Amino acid sequence: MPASLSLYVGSTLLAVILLAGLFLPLRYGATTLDTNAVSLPPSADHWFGTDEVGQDMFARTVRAARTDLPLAIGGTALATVLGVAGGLAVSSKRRWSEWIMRGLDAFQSLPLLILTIALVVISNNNIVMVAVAVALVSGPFYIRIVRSQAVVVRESRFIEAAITSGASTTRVMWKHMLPNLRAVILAQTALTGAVALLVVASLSFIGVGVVPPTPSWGAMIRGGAGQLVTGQWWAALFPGLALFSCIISFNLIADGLRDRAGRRRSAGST
Amino acid sequence: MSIDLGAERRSDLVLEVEDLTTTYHSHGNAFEAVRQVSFDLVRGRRYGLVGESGSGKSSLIRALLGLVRIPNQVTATTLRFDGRIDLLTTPAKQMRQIRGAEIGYVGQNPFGALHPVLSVGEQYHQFLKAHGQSRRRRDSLARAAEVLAGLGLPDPPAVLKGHAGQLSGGMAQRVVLGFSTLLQPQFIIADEPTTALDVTVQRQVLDLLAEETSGGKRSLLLVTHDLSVVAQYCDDVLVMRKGRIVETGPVRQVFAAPHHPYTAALLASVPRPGTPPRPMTRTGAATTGTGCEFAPLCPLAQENCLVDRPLLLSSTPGRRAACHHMPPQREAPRPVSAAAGPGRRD
Amino acid sequence: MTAAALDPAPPPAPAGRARAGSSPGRRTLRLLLKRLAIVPLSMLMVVLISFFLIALIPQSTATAIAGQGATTDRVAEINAELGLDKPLVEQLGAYLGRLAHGDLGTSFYTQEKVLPDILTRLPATLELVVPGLVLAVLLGVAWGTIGGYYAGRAADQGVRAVGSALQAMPEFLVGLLLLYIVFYQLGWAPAPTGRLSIINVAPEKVTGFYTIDSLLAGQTAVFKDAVAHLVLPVLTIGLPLAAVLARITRATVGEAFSGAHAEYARTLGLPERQVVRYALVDARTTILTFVAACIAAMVGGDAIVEIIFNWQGVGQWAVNGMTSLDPPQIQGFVLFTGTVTLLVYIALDLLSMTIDPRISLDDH
Repeated sequence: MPASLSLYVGSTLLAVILLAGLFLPLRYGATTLDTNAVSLPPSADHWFGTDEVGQDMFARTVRAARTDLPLAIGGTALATVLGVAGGLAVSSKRRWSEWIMRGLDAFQSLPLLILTIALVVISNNNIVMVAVAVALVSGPFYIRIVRSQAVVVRESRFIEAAITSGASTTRVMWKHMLPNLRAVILAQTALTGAVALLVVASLSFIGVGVVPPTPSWGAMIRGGAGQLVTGQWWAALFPGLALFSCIISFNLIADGLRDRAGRRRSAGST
Repeated sequence: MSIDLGAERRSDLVLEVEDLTTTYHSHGNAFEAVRQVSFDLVRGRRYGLVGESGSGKSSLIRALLGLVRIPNQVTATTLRFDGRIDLLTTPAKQMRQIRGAEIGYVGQNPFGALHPVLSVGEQYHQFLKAHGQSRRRRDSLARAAEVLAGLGLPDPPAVLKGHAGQLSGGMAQRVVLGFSTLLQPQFIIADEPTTALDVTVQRQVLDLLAEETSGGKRSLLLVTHDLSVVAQYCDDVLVMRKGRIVETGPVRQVFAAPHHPYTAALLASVPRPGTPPRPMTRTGAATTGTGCEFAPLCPLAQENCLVDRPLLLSSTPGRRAACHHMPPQREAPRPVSAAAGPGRRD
Repeated sequence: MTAAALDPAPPPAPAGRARAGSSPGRRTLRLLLKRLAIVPLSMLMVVLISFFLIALIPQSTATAIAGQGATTDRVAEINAELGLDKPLVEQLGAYLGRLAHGDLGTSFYTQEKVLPDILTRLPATLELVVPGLVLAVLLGVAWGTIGGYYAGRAADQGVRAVGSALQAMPEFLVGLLLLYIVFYQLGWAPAPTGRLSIINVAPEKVTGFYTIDSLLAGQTAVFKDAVAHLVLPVLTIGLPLAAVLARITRATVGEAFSGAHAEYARTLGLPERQVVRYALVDARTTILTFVAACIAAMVGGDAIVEIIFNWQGVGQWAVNGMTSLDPPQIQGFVLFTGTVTLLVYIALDLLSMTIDPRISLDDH
């Protein structure tokens, strides 16, 4: 897919899902129970069917974007701050940055996703901690990517020139390093968005973070999983599709940004 | 020696090329890197192929080796090797037997060419195995060691055990030379074999290449943009520009009195002590697309040059040039002695 | 689970040119010692992290365990029981002392020792994760190689489309999709009741691997049942990981295919089979790095797959420990997975050094 097309498709899809979650008027409430309409298959009335307690799956699937996406985006923002600041800080050739990288190695050898479960549980299911969890899981990757690029930029002539001409470190960072890392940062942010959504969904699938009755895709899929093996496919399928669409949107945006930045490997060009 | 190619017996030709065009396709655009090129190479002679970067030299080589792949394509009315093999229609399997065994190849950068992880010996073994020359590793290594020793490499067994990264540039290029000569091919193509090397070892490699192609049995096509190398090591020269061959002929004659103004300009741009190089200048003329592509830079361009592209025709016996202003009507722009460097060998 | 978060690290820089005279053996040895020297340090770091994880937030841990509305007495009681009321240094000393005896602690709730708890569940997890990884590597590398070989052509684009779709699927979606289609619709796979059907009793424990133990006991029916129960979870682990590996393989092998040495191999008349081999050998260190990352991600089991298929392995056990906030269990799990991950990376380093001469040349 050409760069502009994947960017377009990805961001449109994501915007539609987010805006629908925020503003789409719904016939049924997302948390309204209806004991007369339990486990109904999709129909003209309930487009996505209903779950085992009679909640409208369409309403829940649409409204889940209200919590899942902001959480993922918030976590991504945190990871971005962590990744850019951390990556720039450890891009110098000082000894301590080498130590921090070693520390990062050890940190990443921990079962981070599993640990974040404990983190969220300790905070009494405070969903802000879900965003922190996202940052903890994806931040180290982000730091590595920014660092590896920053090291290259730092080596280049114009940074050398800026430093020798007496520019302050902060000025070099803001005025010279960041603009040159823009493409990498943008692409990595989009990629982190996908990971963030995965973390948010995984946590609520396990049962921490966003928990019912608040609609969230991960928890809805978990709930639907039990019905899946008895044939009620819709309770898991529609939230699954929504989650899949959002993750693929983030990936498409990342691909588009990366291609646009010209990092595409020209494999096979003869 | 007669160089009137048409007069040679067919079997004396190691390569016959007529109307060869290479087209590259990329993102819906087609680009002709080589355009309607025709030339013959006589057995036992050394040819220099010169031109600026982007003139289509490497694309031509890839076409000769059958390495242009889908979606890119090569067309030609004739592309015959050794008077018997049609390189265009030969199936891929036989083509593989020809490459390496009948046509040797030396590339620019030996470190790019040699595998970075596999040992040199393993690469020789795979090469010999591919050509049905050896089954056992031990035999392969013995043959390879022999060849490497012949190329002046110290301690061939150690070299064979190691890998490319442990070699110096000159040593690595000797290893590549070993591949190109091991199976005694009758034709060697060397694509700028010294550009990636230190100046000090460039001459050694060229001398080895010259030695391997001496004796009149093996032909060499040496691609370079260094005119002094052509003057020193080649019998004939082919000048390429923008995918076309603009002039061919014996090196001495061509360099002494170029028939194509582009060749003249190339020669004039070679820096020499005491004489400032003459850069090419635009004359402001524009072609219609059917005219001579050199016209906008040509000091001799006239009306007909802008609309009518000259064909590569025999200018004097043994020489061809693609120019409307064929000599002898025109005088040579530079003195004879200036073109050939000192120590010129035949 | 975090495998989807992996992104290709920059590939190793082109080899520096060393003279043939210098000794590559000694260089490799020095690098080896350098790498090994960090191991105790990294180990210490993992130990400290696992300790401070709990020790630094005692109040909230105890409060969370006691539940909302618990009396301060109850909180204090829990703190005392966990030893969280003692000074930090004393706690650390006690912790290190226990570790020195191979004691990873005792579960707060079940009063079971943590290490034996992990070890009894390990065979279940390994029986699941190892075939999953093998599948991922075989499929991913083959898939990526085909993509890289036909880069830009229809075969490549098809392969890439499937790959990016699979990469956007969280593991639980893949697992549930497989369950719905293969179990519910087709009836080819057994119900997700764990490692065996309810009617079958686990074979007598020798290795803990049901497939091996059932064969040792001569129970072919149990063996078949165990294998049947493995298929879907193994696919659930293997397919998404294969997609990740395929993407990395495609990039590195594709680069090797279009690179100078693949082209040179062709000018030498080598058969395509060898050209492919050359490209794979060139790319294998990078691929191996990502395989190691995948292994590391699976060290603690795959919690989500274990939950979906009710596997009762280390991952599911760990999630239970996390959600019930069992401090010794959390610490023990972190220490265990952290250590094994470190070992995986050390093994990777050593293996890379022996199979790739560029690595010892790069390091000066």
